[in-house]
Amino acid sequence: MKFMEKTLKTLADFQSALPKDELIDGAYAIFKNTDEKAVTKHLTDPSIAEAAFRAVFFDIEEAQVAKLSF
Amino acid sequence: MNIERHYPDEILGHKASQDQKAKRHQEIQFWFDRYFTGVNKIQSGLNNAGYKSAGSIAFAEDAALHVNDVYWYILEQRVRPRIISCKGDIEVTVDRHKISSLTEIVIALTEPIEHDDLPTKRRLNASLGFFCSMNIMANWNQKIADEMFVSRSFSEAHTTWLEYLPTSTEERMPIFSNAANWYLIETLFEERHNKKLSPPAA
Repeated sequence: MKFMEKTLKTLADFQSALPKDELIDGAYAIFKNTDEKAVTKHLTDPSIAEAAFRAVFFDIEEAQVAKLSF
Repeated sequence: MNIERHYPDEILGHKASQDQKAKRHQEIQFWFDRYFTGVNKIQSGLNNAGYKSAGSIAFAEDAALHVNDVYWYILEQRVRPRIISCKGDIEVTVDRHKISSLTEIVIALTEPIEHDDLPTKRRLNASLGFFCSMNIMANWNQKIADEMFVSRSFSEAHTTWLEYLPTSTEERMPIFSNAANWYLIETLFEERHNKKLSPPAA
């Protein structure tokens, strides 16, 4: 099965399992928010960017073997 | 989405400083640049996987700036007012799960990547959003590379979910329920990390 066909099948399976209004988010969040402020965090580590790229394109062999040099 | 691009400071008030917004803009630009570099290096693989003419992708003008503007608008208008601080603080801090959730949803809906083929465009923008949120979550906890993979089925389902989010109105942004996804992703990262550190079972 080609990638896009697989994708569409996954979507169909996924959406048919959802209640009709699942995509309307009306919930209030009551999670405890204890993070440090985002402004103190450095979110641009090149090695993490490279690992994230490989994780997102997990199904593409070139992404796993390419020298990305991030 | 019809959202004004630059929001006056008086609306944001003290909640988000210009420094915070500028910093996030730089981060988004960094992630976009890395994604663009990566995609250009795997063009043949993308084409084989069903992306049409993956080599011809381009970002819209000021794409990172636009995404950043929409991000802060939604954060202030839709996310922060709906969070109740458990500690009774006046100033509410939006946690990393909601930041990751909102970032990828905004990217999927604003579609900073342009492409002539609509399915390819949506797929690329969804994967870009997922990529940016992975960067946020993994950097936040200083994960190492091999702890970051979730699972093939999750990655595919999550990217597809982002790809087909309805784009008609900002009211249909499942930010909080998607934040729970990111809570679980982080837990999975943690479990992998702890497992690796634990001695092997006797």
